[in-house]
Amino acid sequence: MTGFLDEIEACIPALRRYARGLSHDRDAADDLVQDCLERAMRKRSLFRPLGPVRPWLFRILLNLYRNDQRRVRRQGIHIPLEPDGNYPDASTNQQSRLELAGVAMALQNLPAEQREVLMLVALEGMSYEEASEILEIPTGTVMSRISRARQALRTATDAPPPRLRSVK
Amino acid sequence: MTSQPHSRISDADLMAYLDRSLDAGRMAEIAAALDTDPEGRARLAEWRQQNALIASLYQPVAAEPLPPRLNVRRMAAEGRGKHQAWHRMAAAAILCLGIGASGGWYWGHQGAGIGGTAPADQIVAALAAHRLYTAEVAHPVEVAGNTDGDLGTWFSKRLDRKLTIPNLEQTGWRLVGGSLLPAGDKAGAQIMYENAGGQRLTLFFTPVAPHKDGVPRFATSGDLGVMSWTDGSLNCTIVGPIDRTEIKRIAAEVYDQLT
Repeated sequence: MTGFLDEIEACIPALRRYARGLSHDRDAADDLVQDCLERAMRKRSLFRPLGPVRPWLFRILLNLYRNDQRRVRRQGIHIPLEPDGNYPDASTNQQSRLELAGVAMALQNLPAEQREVLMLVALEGMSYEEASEILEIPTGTVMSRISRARQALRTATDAPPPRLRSVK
Repeated sequence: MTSQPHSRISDADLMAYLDRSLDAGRMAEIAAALDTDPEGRARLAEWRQQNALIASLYQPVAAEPLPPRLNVRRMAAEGRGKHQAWHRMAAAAILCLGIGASGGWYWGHQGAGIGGTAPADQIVAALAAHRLYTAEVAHPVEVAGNTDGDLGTWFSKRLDRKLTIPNLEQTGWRLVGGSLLPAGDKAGAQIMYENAGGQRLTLFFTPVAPHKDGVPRFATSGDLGVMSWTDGSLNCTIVGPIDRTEIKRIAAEVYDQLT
């Protein structure tokens, strides 16, 4: 049991990072991770996974995220601009802050299915194989979604600086 | 393929190269091709820049100190408490169902004593529905179904919850179909399965107010095993002529397919 807990614990930083990438919101992301961990802890007695823990945890997190999405969709996208600590370095200059905010917004504007896979690969460093296993889609679909996501990001970041609105 | 230095590296190859999703041989080929392909290098650089921006946005999150609410050891300690409580409840449930089977509606008075929880009512309802419909030879279900057919849509609509019809073929149970039944003042969904020996198993789903998921409860009544749990806003009860090990196996399958 301790080994199992250790395995889960080792995945938490990555789960938080991934959740933040999905929602760009600190509290929402940690809520998601907390739900995921609670569910994993409850499941472990009866429904412990047979395979490795990491893809299992990511799958749980994604399922919860999708459930949340259905609720949130109606409320629109919220991108708190700053200062919420999402921009890593206080000394980052204004231009790159704007650039990062633009990317963050473009990421949030992607269809969820593209953001889910892009973040697994570009942020979590997973191979297409691993991503396809977690998302339960063929690798061809993984590739086409990433390709579309990159294209959309390019268009968004090439465009004149977006008009940012601060919500909150 | 590297013998044609001027052929354009496809986006798919280049992207898979960037995302380390090619085998070693192919990786080396693309790397070599890139040496003589400035346009390919430019495309690659642009994607790398995207990755770098994504990383600068979110990479630091992994190094942030963990808030206490994400402490799994604490969750484990709290969970143990709950688990023990559940064992006590499950023991009580077995006792009361035993009495109920031989003593009519005694359960009705005792039910509230076991924490007065909805799942207790659910178990009773699911058992009654199971006994009633599995005995039917000609019309055991209202709607015959397959797992990707209209049955799930119909139930989802009537229960106002997204309900996936679990596929239990792997565990040896074939879908027969489903019936809409009353469950308190709401609609419940009974889904029936049959094994090669003609035995029948039912899942009974009822909508509940969303709350924290409960630990699965196991009970027996006569020769029937029952397992019940709440997941989100749906309560699921499995009833079948099977023992605890088998019902757990099926519960795990159902749970995985529902979440």
